[in-house]
Amino acid sequence: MYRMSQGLLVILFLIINISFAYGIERVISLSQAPDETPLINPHSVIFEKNKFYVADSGNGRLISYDLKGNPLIALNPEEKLKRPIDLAFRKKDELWVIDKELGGFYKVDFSKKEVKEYILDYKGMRLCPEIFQIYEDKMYILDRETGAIAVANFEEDNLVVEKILKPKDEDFKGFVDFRVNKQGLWGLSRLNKKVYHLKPDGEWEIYSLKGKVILPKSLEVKDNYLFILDRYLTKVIMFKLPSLTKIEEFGEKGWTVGKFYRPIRIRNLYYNYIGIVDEGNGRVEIFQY
Amino acid sequence: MRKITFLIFIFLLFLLEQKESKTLIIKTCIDCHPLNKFKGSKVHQPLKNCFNCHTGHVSKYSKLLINKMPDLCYDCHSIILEKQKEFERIHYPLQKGDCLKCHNAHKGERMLLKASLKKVCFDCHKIKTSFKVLHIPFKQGNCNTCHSSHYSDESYLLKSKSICLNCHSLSALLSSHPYLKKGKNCKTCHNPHGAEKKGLLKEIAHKPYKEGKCKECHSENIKGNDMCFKCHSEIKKEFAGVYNHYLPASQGKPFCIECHSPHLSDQKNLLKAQAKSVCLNCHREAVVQRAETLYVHKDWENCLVCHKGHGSNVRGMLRDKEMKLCGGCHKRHINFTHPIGEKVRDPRNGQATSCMTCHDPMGVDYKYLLRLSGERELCIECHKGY
Repeated sequence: MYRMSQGLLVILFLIINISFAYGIERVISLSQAPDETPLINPHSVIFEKNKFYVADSGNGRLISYDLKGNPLIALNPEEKLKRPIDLAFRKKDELWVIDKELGGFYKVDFSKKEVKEYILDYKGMRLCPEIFQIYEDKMYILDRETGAIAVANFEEDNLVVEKILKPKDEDFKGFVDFRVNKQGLWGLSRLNKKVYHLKPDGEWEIYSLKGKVILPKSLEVKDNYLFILDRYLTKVIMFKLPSLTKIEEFGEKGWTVGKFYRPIRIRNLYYNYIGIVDEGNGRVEIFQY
Repeated sequence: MRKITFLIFIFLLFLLEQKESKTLIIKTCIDCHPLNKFKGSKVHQPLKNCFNCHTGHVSKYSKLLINKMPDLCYDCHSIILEKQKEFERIHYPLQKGDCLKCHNAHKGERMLLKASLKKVCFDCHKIKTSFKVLHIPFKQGNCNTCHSSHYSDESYLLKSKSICLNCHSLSALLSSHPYLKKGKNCKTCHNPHGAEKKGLLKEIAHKPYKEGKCKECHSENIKGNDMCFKCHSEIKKEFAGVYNHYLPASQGKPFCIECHSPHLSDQKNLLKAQAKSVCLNCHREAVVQRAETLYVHKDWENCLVCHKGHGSNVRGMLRDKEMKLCGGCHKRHINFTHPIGEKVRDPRNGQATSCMTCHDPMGVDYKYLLRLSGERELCIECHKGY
């Protein structure tokens, strides 16, 4: 009886493992504009209003896709975008874009059909935005000048930086990516291979990825799972939180569909669909996990 | 009592037999392999029995070893393998598993080194040694006074961040360096090996420092990156590229000092060290790639030949678009190569083909820096019908 139950346990364990191992599959690739021109150095992807939006940095345009991955529209509002590197919707008709050449934001108001520039500063210091996220009507911005996260409020027609969030760790060398969710703020520091978590109570906790990754480039946090995109390994490594136990990894170096050459960002798009932006292959690969 | 005597006799007989068999084994080996090859001031402990490492008849491994290298070494020196996981920087030969690059297997100098520590280190590290003033450990060839030979978390495999303070006491230094704090990087101004000036001071001085105009940079009103950009405004523009080295300015210091020395240097552009050392200090993935692959570009160590130091709009912070960059040196090749360019699309991803489509200068396992085997594998990635 004991042996039988032991056997059943082993089988159950195998089934769980196999189902998990086979649980990650590529579902869509976003790789072209409506005019069939390829993406050049795409930098970010979002999911909004049942569409995917990609910042096609090398071509200076934004492209929307339907749920099947068919390109819908390529746009460059008022031809102002030169190097769009990140984008997010605040409201249905209000799109924010970071343009590297501008060193700031463009707000695209579709209802008013106008595009406005926003250059941010904090205590007399000009910020250098790289990545941003709008969460609970606050804008969180990864600023290259401080390597920290600037928190900005939307005030009438202005964007005002309220504070800068930065861990008090001597070893901190600046974030390369971050995410905000109900569990707080999660920042990835490449040089010291650490993930910093700012909990809602204001405490920072640190997870060290030393020995687990080589070149961590981007992160995503969903429920109790931490996804780290390792650019050198061209893999996504999934860790269970808070134990930081590695539970799965996927991705392989290559140039054909489904493979990564120079992956740059990972984003959870909706439910259990995750997007990997690969600037090398000029593609966004969307996986279901 | 008789029983005990009998047992002791049996035990002694057993020991004698063991000793004899070992002696016999070694005797058999040295019939062909002269014993003087294995005699020296320091002898590897397993040498007492050749069969600790070698097999007498056949083996899959060269030198009739019982296991492949470096696993054979790690069978006993497992601590070396374990420790590698704890540290960020591993000495290149160790990373490659080439223990015999520095050590002898049978006999040698201290720690079974092939020669004196100085000679072993300098065989690979062709560094300048002719200075007017020499740092004593460097003069004596005691590299391991400051450097760790296997692994470390510090650049140049230094034993610790504040290694200088191991010999030079902080309290004594404070009289001449009132701003000095523990952890301060002495290498910014001093060359730890040698120099032409007293105090091992570096040669090239930042102009305001040379002229004693400290306040040009250090003033209450200017903090962070503006300390540098105030004068070097043309450099600031270079950081506007999509791919750049714009780094966080920490604690009011400019990020420029991550790579440049603001006071003294021995390098062009006041770099903290040779460009390769400055770059590889952060880009550890490049070191890993070199260790894991067989071929790298001949200028692998001269990063600035291909990459820009501040920023660029070309992926990888390259100096120019790939074809123009490679074609700058490979002039003949660019004219007769496989069709490449904007009009020739890679069927795998729709991207414009370039030299990098097939080659990877940072490290590959195939000749001519090909990403895959040029005999078939690489070609059929695109030419499916063949």
